[in-house]
Amino acid sequence: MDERIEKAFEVANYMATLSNQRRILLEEYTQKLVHYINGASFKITPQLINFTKTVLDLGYAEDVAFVDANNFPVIINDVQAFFDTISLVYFESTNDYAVKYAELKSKRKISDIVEL
Amino acid sequence: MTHGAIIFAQNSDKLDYIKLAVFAAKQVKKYLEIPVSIITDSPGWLTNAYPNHPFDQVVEVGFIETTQYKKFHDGALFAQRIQWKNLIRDQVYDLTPYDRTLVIDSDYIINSTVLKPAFDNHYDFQIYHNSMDLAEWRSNKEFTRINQWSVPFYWGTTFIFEKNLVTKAFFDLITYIKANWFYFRMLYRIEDTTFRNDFAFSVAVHIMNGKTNGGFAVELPGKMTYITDKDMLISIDGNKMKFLIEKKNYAGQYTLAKTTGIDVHVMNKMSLSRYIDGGLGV
Repeated sequence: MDERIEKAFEVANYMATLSNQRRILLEEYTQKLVHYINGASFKITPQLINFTKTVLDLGYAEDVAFVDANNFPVIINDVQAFFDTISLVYFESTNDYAVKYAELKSKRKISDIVEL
Repeated sequence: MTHGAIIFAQNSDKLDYIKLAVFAAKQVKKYLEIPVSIITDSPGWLTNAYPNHPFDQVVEVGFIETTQYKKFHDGALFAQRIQWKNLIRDQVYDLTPYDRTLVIDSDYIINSTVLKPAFDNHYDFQIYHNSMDLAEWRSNKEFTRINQWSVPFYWGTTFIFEKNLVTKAFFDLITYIKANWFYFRMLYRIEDTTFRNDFAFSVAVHIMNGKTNGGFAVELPGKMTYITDKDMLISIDGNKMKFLIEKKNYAGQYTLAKTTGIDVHVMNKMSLSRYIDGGLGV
């Protein structure tokens, strides 16, 4: 096979692997953003963090009803603690995602992408 | 309330499901820290071949001679028809020793703690509908609805249920669907002639929801991440798994993929078996 064509296929393979690995990394990140409390589960999103902050700013800090990821209501007893936890999980996970993403982007060989 | 996991393992003529179940159970204990029991028709093989098995309880079921066969691939270029014993999943309600049970297939490899808090949820029945194929190019529409005109697809591979009147009705319904499989297959336009738990579960969820989009089945956290039997597992190292994923339009060629800290349904059981035997799954 022509050397240039061979090189092109190599690059195409690299791009396919990189693209798939980015998708897997996103899924790993998404799974870290699941938070459980009082038998309910929440997906931590900027919207949830903002809403919780608004609830606190309005002066409601105890026994507030939220609706979880499955549309079931749940009473959050300590809203401040809930806010602190989801913020921490969100920022830690997002930071970890950013670090791993940058690391992945810097890899130039398939064997490096999957750490062979 | 007691918590635990159940793995079904009925050996076929060509595949040692008990070997896979022993491995899967160790992963459950490592990450979820709950007792695991096995439901099997071959307890003798379990104790002889795997004397140090990790099972909390061994639940014996009678040997069932099945005539159901399924084509299993081992990578993109090889396939064989193997006996497929999947007809007792509906009995889990009566057979489980736990009040709240996680049921997984022997090829579902737990590599994270994502399911752990799901035991404390208040829901009767939690199961996966959403899924992610590790092959980016492959369509997962066959795992979205049981066919393009019909009801949402649910994975019978992994679910958590609490013993109560509602879930008892659900499993009774599955028994009824299984007994009248030809009728339900026609009614829901299922093309596959073999009985599949995924389909029976999907139909039963639909009926439990009053044949609407009700709230009986709650989504488990995360997604059902899977490789098909046309892909291969290379190795597992801690919570990292490496795979060869079938390439689009190039049969026999693969791309590499790696996961960290997510549970994966390894549908290529032969590859998983090779890895457990020691070495690589390729």
